[in-house]
Amino acid sequence: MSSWWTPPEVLAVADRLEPGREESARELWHELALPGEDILADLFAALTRERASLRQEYERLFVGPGPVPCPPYEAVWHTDRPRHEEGMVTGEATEEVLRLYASLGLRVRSGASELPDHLAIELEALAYAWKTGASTAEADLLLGAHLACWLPPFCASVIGRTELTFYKSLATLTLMCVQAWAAERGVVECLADSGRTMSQTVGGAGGSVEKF
Amino acid sequence: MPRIKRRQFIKGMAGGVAAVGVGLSGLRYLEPAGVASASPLTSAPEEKLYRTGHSNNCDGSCGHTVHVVGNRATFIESAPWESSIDGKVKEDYPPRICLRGVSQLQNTYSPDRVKYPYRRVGPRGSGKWERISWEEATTAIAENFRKAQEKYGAKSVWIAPYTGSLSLIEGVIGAGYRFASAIGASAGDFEGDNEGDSACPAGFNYVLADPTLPANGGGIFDGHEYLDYLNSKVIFLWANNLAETSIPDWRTICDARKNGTKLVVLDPRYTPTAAAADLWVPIRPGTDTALVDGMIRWIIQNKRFDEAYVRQYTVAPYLIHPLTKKFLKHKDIVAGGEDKYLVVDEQDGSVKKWDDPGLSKPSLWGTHAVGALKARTALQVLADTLNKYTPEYTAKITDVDAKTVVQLAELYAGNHPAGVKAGFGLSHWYRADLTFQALLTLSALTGNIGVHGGGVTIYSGALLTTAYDIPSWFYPDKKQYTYLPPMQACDAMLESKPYPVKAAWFMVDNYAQQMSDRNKVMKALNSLDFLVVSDYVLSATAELADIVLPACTYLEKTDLLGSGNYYLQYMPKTIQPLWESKSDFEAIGLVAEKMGVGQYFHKTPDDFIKEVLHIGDPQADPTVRGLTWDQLTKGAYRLNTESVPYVPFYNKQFPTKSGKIEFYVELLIPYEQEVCDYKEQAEAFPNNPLLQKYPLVFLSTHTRFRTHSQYCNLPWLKEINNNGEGFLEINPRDAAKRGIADGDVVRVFNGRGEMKVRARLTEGIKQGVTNCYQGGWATRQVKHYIEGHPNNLTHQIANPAQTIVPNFQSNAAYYDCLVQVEKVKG
Repeated sequence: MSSWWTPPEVLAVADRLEPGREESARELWHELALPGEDILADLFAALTRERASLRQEYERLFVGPGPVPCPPYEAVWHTDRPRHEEGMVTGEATEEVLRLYASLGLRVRSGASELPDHLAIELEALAYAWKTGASTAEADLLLGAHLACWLPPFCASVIGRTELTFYKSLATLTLMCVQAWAAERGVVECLADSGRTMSQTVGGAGGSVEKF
Repeated sequence: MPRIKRRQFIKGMAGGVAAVGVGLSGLRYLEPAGVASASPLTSAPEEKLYRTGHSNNCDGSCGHTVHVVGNRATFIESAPWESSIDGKVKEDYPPRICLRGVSQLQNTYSPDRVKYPYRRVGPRGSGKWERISWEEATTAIAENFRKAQEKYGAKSVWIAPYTGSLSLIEGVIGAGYRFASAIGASAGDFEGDNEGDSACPAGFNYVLADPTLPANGGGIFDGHEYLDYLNSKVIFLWANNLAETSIPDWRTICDARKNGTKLVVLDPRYTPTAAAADLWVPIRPGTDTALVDGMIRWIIQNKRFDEAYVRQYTVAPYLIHPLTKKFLKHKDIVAGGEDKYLVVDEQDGSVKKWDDPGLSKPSLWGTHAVGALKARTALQVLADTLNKYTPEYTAKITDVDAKTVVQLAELYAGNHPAGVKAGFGLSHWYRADLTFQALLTLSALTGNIGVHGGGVTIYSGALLTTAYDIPSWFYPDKKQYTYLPPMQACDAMLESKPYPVKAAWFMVDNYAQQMSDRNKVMKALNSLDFLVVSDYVLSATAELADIVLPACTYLEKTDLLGSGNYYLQYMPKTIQPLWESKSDFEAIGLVAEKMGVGQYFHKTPDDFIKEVLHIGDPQADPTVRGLTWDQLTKGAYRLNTESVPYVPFYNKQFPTKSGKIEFYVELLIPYEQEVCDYKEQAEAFPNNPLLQKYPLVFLSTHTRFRTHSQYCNLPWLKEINNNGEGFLEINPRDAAKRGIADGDVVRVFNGRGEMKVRARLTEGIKQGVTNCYQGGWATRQVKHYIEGHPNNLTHQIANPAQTIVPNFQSNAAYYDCLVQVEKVKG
């Protein structure tokens, strides 16, 4: 899932469009009884249909060069951030996540040119933790104390802001999976995913055109 | 959902994740770190403290202590100052910081930052971008610069580093100049700084320097450091708002007031600074020279000037040729005579050379027969010219009543020393050079130049140009860039005058928004073949670029900051650059390499700093002789200065042609400005017929919540600044005439352009004057004004008199602007 959240390089997209990819994904979804199989179908359909716009939309939503509506960094989306972290793209959550990686025996590559709490990196760490099977405590923490906390407002924002079905589907699917995994693991979710207002800490990078 | 066995689930998950596309064997962002640290969940990384200087476009140059945890800056507070290079404590320098410095973390960690290089893929300014690598970006820049230079000449590339950073390695005296020299390009100005700040320095050069002398480098200017105002008996704050724009230094003014110093504030607006004044003078904007002329006339008439000082240190007694208006020289009256000034000896009325050992006392006054000529002294010419400025005549021009004109003259002449702090607000005028010339004349007449507590200061710090070995930094292998300041560059882009400019690279420069006559600027930028912009946000200028480069903020790179308080502040890198941002120095190095001049950038910033300061060299400039690297990197050390607090011309040596204070300026004879007789501005002057159409003066002053166009979009500052939204200050009487209520949307317009904002009615601004704070953004995504921008209204009319000062040739007169305001219906 991590790679879906990294910039859509042409190669990776083509890779995913290989025949049989969708099939095997569907099978797996079935086998694991994951939710959102229909959304998975939407995702692959949109991948083909909206292929030419993916790159631009990714930049517009998440990267730049101007202000972006949905910065994909955990620290931005916590509602309980200390006041002095307001408006900043890093925070205590960034530190916690780095410590988590360290306890998994990982660190961020020096050439990564991304912040440690980027969604793709957190998912990458989660996958690694599950694969190696060793650090389940850390994996549960990453899932329950981190991903499950910030993905609800973040994904809601992406769904609200994107013009492409692809990112709508991806955001929906990601949230569903993370919540399903958390439930499976018996990890108490950080917060209920409804009735919580999204933090306005993302200053100008609410990205809204500041018209008056 | 059916429960499944744990092991199967996890295996499935791994597979599932793999099925949707990630290869686990190849971690993309993470890598094994060796041994997993013991109990890492509980141990927090250590906190480190760094001392640095705030270099973002403010000569406050506060010292910051930056708290860093791991690789994250978490807190900024004011830093201490060390003593002097030689170890002696020479002054008690208080800690300093303001709301902007404190908010720097929101700047560095803004989610809005430009994170990667981008190339535009639509029409210029359309907002369509493609992310590219640094390799692609720097290759494209090198190629396009080379193309432009081959086609239009080497100078057709304009490198424009500006005041966004005031530090050594980057910004207004930065590596951009070195690069421009290396490739033979044009470069914007450094201390010329002519986006509104060069008119007053020009005036300085008229009176206190010979700008045509190579030793003066084309123009210098110099002022008193702030702590010196503690020595003033009266302080005139002329066209500035220190309480909001120079918050740490305002403290010094307050300390002076506590000690009994009188404070006079001249400003058409009632600001927090004005509120602290003993006398607030809401002068008609643009008429300040007339007020000074009125004060000079009163002082001369009532013999309130310092006769001994005037006789010894100024050109007052020198005779003036009645026909040429130049100084009358010995060789003018005696064949084969010397090139020496002539005076009249008071004792016997004879005409002598100024340095004649038999001279008893040169006369200050009178018209004297010299052969067939009737010659007046320079002081007599001044007095005769300014004789019309009676208090009543002055009042008519300035809207300052006659009684106050006299009161001001008495305050200034009756309290010694009298210090004038002239704001850049005074410089944003077409005739600001003349105003500064007048202020220096006033200061000289009353013996206030070169004394503690006196002088006329814009800002201090001139000695840095000798402390730094600028030639070695700017001119590698003696190559030199061609100097092309911002206003001339605009014409070069549009009309190829004085030569074509077809490509440009802006660094720490928001030209498209901050330069005057914005519509003209936009036309000019859109006419370029190739535009590169380095910035840390997508500014109005960056939006127009062909290539945008992600710059770092000052916390992420090494630099050196010198400032008007004469402390040198080493700026260490405190955190790694975020995303793929790089310092301008690094970006320049990459492009230089591709253009075959990389060898000039192979040293590190530390190396260059050592070179520029001549660290360890016993022949280093006296201001920095003895400074060690250890001292420089461990604290902020004060340069060696002859006077403490620093006072320019303390030794009364003036680098003018005559060696005296030249209130009579020979070079200005062609412009009829040899003495400081008030002249009207280009646009905003009383009785201008244009007032029928555009009856209101339009100012665009600084706000305490921004530093020009930096800090504009930070949540903390917007929270206390009307959410960043701009507004037009307008007097209730002017508003009533136009049916405008508080909060109404209004259109501000003149022949050059227009803007729309909400009106804010206030008694705190003079009738006939309006103000809209500058610096707010007008970009596709962020608009701090409803429509347009204040610089849509301002002009680029250049004052020809300034051309006599090579480094201060032109000036953006932002405040010299007339507009009409009307309510927007619906």
